[in-house]
Amino acid sequence: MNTLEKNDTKRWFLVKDNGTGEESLQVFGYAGDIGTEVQTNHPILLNWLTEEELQFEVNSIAGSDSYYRDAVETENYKFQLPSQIYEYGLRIEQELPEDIN
Amino acid sequence: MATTTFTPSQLRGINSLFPYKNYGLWAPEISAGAAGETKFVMEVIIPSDSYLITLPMNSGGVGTNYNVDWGDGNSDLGNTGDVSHTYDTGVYDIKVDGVWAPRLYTNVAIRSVVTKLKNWGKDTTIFTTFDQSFRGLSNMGYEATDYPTLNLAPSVTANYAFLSTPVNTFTGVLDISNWDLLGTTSTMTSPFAVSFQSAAGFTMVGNTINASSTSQFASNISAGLADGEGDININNITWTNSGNLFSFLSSAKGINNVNNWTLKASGTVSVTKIFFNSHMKKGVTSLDLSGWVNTSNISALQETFRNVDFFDSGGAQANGILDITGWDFTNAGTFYFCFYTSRFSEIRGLSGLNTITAANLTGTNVAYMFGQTLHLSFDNYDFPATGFFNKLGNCTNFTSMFNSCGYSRGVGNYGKAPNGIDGLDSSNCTSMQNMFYRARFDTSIDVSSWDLSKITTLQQFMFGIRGTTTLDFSNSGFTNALTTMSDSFRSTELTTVTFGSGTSSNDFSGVTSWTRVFNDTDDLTSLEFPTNMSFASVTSGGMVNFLTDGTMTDVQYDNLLVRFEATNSVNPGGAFRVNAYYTLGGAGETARTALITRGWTFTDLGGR
Repeated sequence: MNTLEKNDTKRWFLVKDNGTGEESLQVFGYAGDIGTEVQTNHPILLNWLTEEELQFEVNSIAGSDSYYRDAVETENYKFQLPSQIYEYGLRIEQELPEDIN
Repeated sequence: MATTTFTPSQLRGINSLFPYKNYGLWAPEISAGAAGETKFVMEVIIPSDSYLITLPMNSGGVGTNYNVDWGDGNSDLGNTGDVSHTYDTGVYDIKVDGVWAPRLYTNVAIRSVVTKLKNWGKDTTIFTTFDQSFRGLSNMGYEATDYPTLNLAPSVTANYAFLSTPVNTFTGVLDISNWDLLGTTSTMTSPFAVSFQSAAGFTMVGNTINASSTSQFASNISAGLADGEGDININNITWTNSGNLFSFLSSAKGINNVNNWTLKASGTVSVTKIFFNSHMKKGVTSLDLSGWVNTSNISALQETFRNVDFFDSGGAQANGILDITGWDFTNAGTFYFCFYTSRFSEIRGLSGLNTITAANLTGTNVAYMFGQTLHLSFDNYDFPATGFFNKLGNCTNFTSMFNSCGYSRGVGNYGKAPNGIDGLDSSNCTSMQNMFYRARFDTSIDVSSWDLSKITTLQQFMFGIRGTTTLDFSNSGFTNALTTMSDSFRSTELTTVTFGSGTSSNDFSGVTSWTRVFNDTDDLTSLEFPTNMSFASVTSGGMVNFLTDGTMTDVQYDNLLVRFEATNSVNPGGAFRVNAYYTLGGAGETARTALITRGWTFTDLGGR
């Protein structure tokens, strides 16, 4: 079992399996403030001090320079909020009935 | 062709031709129009030689007898039907007198060449139709200072008289109070719609209209003016027969006084979109409709006040009051989007909603009703204690009913939650999606007696609500029809939420997503699930950001873990985030460990 400890100051993390590409990403984002822990049975748990570092790694794995931003702004279920650099759910719009717009 | 010239005295003696009207009562004695002109005059600019135009008459010209001076030295006299003329390039005044029934829209060639309506010829020229008479004349200006003499038989329609003729050169106040529109009992659809967009105002006071339908009557009047400009006064009107006021003033600008309308005394009246997207005159603080009579016949209020806007005396966007005091909603069949995005700060007369008839309101009839009413408060004028919410049992959808209501009023100034909401009859409701999304109140909503047995979605149900701190769903009667709870209580002030204590008849086994349901609930300290709780349908992404910032007790988290492990078989799982402690060495820890081996990744406070 992999653990990101409660007192670890590197709060930006990702969990992935041994595969490659976007599909290998299980969870990524913010681990919560000091006092919160992350535990997983997936083989890889990595963590960083900054969101920018996490973003770089996630984009590298996904093979897209915009994957991380897209994930935040579209509320991708793999992203653990909040983000400090992008607006969560920015591209989620409330839908009105088609006949009323 | 015989020459016929009508004089005012002849017109006054015309009763024998039109027995349904006593011309002797109104035969004009007042002066003619501009510059002493007595005939109807319109200017045309002909762009090329051999240009053929036709003056088409309604119904083939039956009953007409009129003379045309084409303005180029030619005339056609005694016409009893359509008449055509071929022009050379130039500018001409066409003059008409007699009895005619122009339906100029029918002739495509004339639509772009009419440049001015100079004079109505009220003493010499009678219109027996107003149906599409000047519709679509895209370059027509308006200089007439007199008014048309109308003689509309009961069966004659008066539709689209000026529809889509912008008349942007007219910047005065169009006063149609003297226009005799009462003859027809047929339809009068869009007589002034999308026209007179630069008019400084529109006046119609003290008239009686017998038409059966008057939809889009003056929509878009003054729409070309700046926000807050315009001066629309349509008041003390009797609509003896109109069952359709659809979009009557939609997108019009400068509404000042539209009070004291007497609606028809029997049958139903639709006021759908009647004020949709309209602007009040700057400095006018109230849309006062308290003097409307026979409101009990109103059947449809869909989008009636949607996006009504107010402006202060300086022209800046402002809030205002809607006064529907005394309205009777006995026959109201829908309030769909009724007040949506309006700038009302209060609605006087809401207490009259106790007159609704439960059987009339079904399906989505109250969905979006007060949605996006960002400035609305119920402090001074509130719903009835009973008679409204408890009569909505036939409605199946409350989507966005109070979405963002009061959102922009500011902390401490939101006002009371809707009176009577605690007694909501939701027994047939399937969707409460966004019902109170970001709604702001200073007092709480008690859902403990709501029947939620048919609910399928509570997505974003109370996302961001203010004023409510405790929710008890113990007796809600949830069934496996409920499929999504995502974002239901996200970003709220909730402190205590109960889905059932001990064993419960509530069935959550159909819920696929609890995503973000308690995300950003800083004040949450107690979140209780039944001890027979089922998470059977939750997907691998269904517990993402479930509970952050706030927390639940250790015992409650232990129970959540145990019930999740016992009822959910997803493998591999996704992110499972709960800002709470489990009990070290307890059943919760055992369950959590088992879930981790199934691929769930936990973010929590660990054990203690």
